[in-house]
Amino acid sequence: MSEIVVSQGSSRRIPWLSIGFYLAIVALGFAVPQTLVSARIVHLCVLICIYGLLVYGLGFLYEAAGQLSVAHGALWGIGAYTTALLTLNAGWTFWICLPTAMVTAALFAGLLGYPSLRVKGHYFLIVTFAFAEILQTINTNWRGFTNGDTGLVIAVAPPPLGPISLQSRADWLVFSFALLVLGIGVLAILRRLPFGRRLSAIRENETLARAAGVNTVRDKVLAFMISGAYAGAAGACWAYYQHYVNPHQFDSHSGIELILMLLIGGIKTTLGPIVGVIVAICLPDLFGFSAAQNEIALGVAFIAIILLMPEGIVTFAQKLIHRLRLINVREL
Amino acid sequence: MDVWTFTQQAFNGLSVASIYMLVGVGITLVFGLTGLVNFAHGEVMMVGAYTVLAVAPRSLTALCLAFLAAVAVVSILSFAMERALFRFTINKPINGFLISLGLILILQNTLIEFFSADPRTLPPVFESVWQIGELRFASQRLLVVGVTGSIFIVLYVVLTRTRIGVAIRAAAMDRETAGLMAVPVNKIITATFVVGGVLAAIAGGLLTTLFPVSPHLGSLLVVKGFAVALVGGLGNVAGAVLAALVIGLTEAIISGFGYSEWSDAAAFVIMVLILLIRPQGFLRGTEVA
Repeated sequence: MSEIVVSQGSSRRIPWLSIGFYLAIVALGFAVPQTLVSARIVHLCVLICIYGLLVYGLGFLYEAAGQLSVAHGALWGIGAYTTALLTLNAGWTFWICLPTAMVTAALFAGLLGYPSLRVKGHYFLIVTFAFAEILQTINTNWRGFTNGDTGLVIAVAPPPLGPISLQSRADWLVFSFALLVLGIGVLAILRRLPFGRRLSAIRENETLARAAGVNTVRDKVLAFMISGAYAGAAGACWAYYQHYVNPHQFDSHSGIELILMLLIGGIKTTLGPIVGVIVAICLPDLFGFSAAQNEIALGVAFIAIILLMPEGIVTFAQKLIHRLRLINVREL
Repeated sequence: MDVWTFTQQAFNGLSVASIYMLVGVGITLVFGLTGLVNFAHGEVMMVGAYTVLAVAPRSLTALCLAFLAAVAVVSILSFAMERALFRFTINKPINGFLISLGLILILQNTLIEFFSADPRTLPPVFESVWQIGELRFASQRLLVVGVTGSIFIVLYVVLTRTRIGVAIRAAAMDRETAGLMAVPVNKIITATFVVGGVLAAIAGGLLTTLFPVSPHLGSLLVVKGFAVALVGGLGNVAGAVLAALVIGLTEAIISGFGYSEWSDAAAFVIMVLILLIRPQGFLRGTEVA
C-alpha cells in the first residue's frame, strides 16, 4: 500500500501508462465523428462535451477551492443569453460571442462571489441557490429584453474561422471535444501553479491559509470566476448548437443536476466528472423513462452514492479493481 | 401611493411574510441544531400544500382536517428523512446538503407524476371580505396571519418555557456539552426536524389559500426561507421572524408601486446587502461570521 503512495506522490517517474491511457481516450474522441455512427449518438456526444465543460468548471471550484455552487446552471444561462442577445441585437458572430460570454459569466460570478465568499460558512451555497432562482424569474419576467418564456431563437450558424467550420453535428463534436480537452488541460495546469496550491491550502484549512498570508477571498473569488468562465463558454456553445435558449433550461434545477453529475463520478480522478456526465445523459436513453421518472431515478441513485460511496463511482471502481488485483489502476 | 394603498399593501405583505416566517423558522431551527443547509425544505412544504389540495376542503371543519392530514403526512416524511438519511451525515453537513439536492429531485418529480406540473388553486373556503374605510381584509388572508400568529405564540412558549425547548436551544448552542448535560441530542435533532416539517406543512397549506401552487414553487419559497434565515442571522428564531416581516413588506411595497414581477428579486438584494454590511444577520446567529 505504502509503495503505491510513494510512486504516486513524490517520484518524478513519468507515468507512461497514464499518459498513454489519456491519449487513447482523446484519440478515440476525435475518431468518433469519422466513423459511421448514428446522428443521435453524435448529438449525445456533443451534449456530453458541453456538459463536461460545465462540470469540470464546477469540479475545479469544488476540488481545488472546496466550494460548491448551485449557480452554475444560471451562469451557463448567462453565457447562453449573452451569446443569443449579442447575436440577435448586435449581429456578432460566434467567435466574438464565445469570449464575451466567458467574460460576462466570469464577471457575474465575481459579483456573486465577492459578498458571499467574504464570510465563512454556508453563505455561498445559499446565495448561489438564490441567484439561480432569481435569475430565472428575471429571465422569465423581463419580456422586453429576454423574450420571456418564449425564449430566443438563433437561426444562423457560426461562420468558418480559418480551418474550423461548424456546419454539421460532427463538426460540433470535434470542436466541443477539443474545447473540453483544452479546458481540462488548462485546469490541470492551474492546479499546479502557485494559485492552485494556494487554493488547496484554503480547502484544507482556510484559517491557516489566511494566517500564512494567502488572500483567501481573492483566490476563492478568482476560482469561482474561472469556473464561471467555463460555464460561459458552455453557454455560448449551447446557444449556437441548440439554436434556442429559454429561461427554464437554466434554473436552479440545472445547477443541481450539474452537482449530481460531478459527484456521481467523483472528483478525485480526472475521468470522474465525465463519467458522471455520461451516466446522467445516457441513462434516460437506455431506460426510456419520462422526464420526471428520470429525475427521480437520478435523485435516488445520487443519494445512494453519497451515502454508500461518497468518493463517487470511479474511485469506488478503482478500489474494487485494485482489491481484485487485476491491474494497478491507481496509476491512472 | 397614498396612505390607504400603503396600508393595504402592508396587510397583503403581512400575509406573505407569515408564509416566509413559517418556512424560514423551520430552516433556521434545523440549521442552528445541525448546520445542515436543507434545500429540500421547500419540497417538504409542497408535499404539505398538495396534501391540503388533495383533500380539497369546502368547509372550515374540512379545512382543519386537511391541515391535520398535511401535518401528519409531513411529520412522517420528516421523521423518515431524518432517521434514514440525514442521521448518517450529521458529522458532514456538506453531504447532508448534497442529499437534500437529491431529495429535491425525488419529491418534486413525485408530485409532478401524481398531480401534474400545472398550477392548482384551492376553491376559497371563506369568501367574505372585511371592509374598513377603503381597506379590504380578505378573510383568507386574515386566517393566514391569525394561524401564523398563534403558532408563533405556541412556539415561543415551547422554546422558552418548557424542558424540551430549553434542550433544543442548549443543543443548538453546543451539541457535545448539551449531550454531557443529559440532553438526548439525537432525539432532539429528530424532534426539531419534525417541528420544522410541521411548520413547513402549515406554510404549504396556508399558501394554497393565497396563491395557485405548482410543484415548482418549492424552490422559490425555499430561497425566500433561506433569505429570511440568513438575513435574520442563521440559527436565530427571533431574527428570522423580524427578517420575514422586512422581506415580506418590502416585496409588498415593490408590488404596490406596480413592479410585482420584480418583487422576487427583493429578497435576493436584501440578502446580498446584509452579507456586505452585517454578515451575522439582524440578530446574531449560531454561525458567527
